[in-house]
Amino acid sequence: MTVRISEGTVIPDFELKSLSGESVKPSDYRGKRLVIFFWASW
Amino acid sequence: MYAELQSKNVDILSVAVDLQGPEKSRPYHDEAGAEFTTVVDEENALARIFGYRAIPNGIFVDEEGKLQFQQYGGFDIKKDEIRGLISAFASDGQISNNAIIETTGPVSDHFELGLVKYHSGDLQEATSIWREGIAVDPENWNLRKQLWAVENPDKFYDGKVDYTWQREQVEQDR
Repeated sequence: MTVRISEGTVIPDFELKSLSGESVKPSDYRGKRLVIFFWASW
Repeated sequence: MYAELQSKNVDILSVAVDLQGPEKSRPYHDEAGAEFTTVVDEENALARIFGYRAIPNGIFVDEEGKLQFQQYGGFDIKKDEIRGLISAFASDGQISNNAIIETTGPVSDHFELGLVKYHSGDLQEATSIWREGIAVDPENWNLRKQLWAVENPDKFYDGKVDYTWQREQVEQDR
């Protein structure tokens, strides 16, 4: 079964490059509420 | 909408999953006039971390980075119901769980294994691994669509995505 993160736990941090080439992490947004969405052009 | 969210201390981070890199994702980001940040997950690494095998998905976190809500599948921010969810989250931080569409099942290694071959230039082996993955996990849309995109770039990247063609492929497989 797929393991999902439970509500109320801190999400795992990750680091990816933005379209403008900067490194971005979800933890950069602490202090704000954040909506992360996952998509593809296909 | 983005300015209004920001005024409520809410931000958006978009993650484009495309192993062919940022140049494939950028036109869609730009065409949408997106003002928020888009990062590119070229290795489908987050599918494993967050446990999804299809997109689009959305997760909502609070000021401390704690998960408040997650929706797997159908999270298309162009849709009114999804915009409604985001607005509700911005207004009071609460979301009803009614809209959750769950997908379950194993996350296969095929995407990543094929990716290694793809990046080493062995397209034939890559597509063969992805086909194998689809055979054992037919609902794995990350795999299926990435295979289509590599084999039929004209259906994906030449101006717009041909969803009619995709539906025809699914019908043929049945």
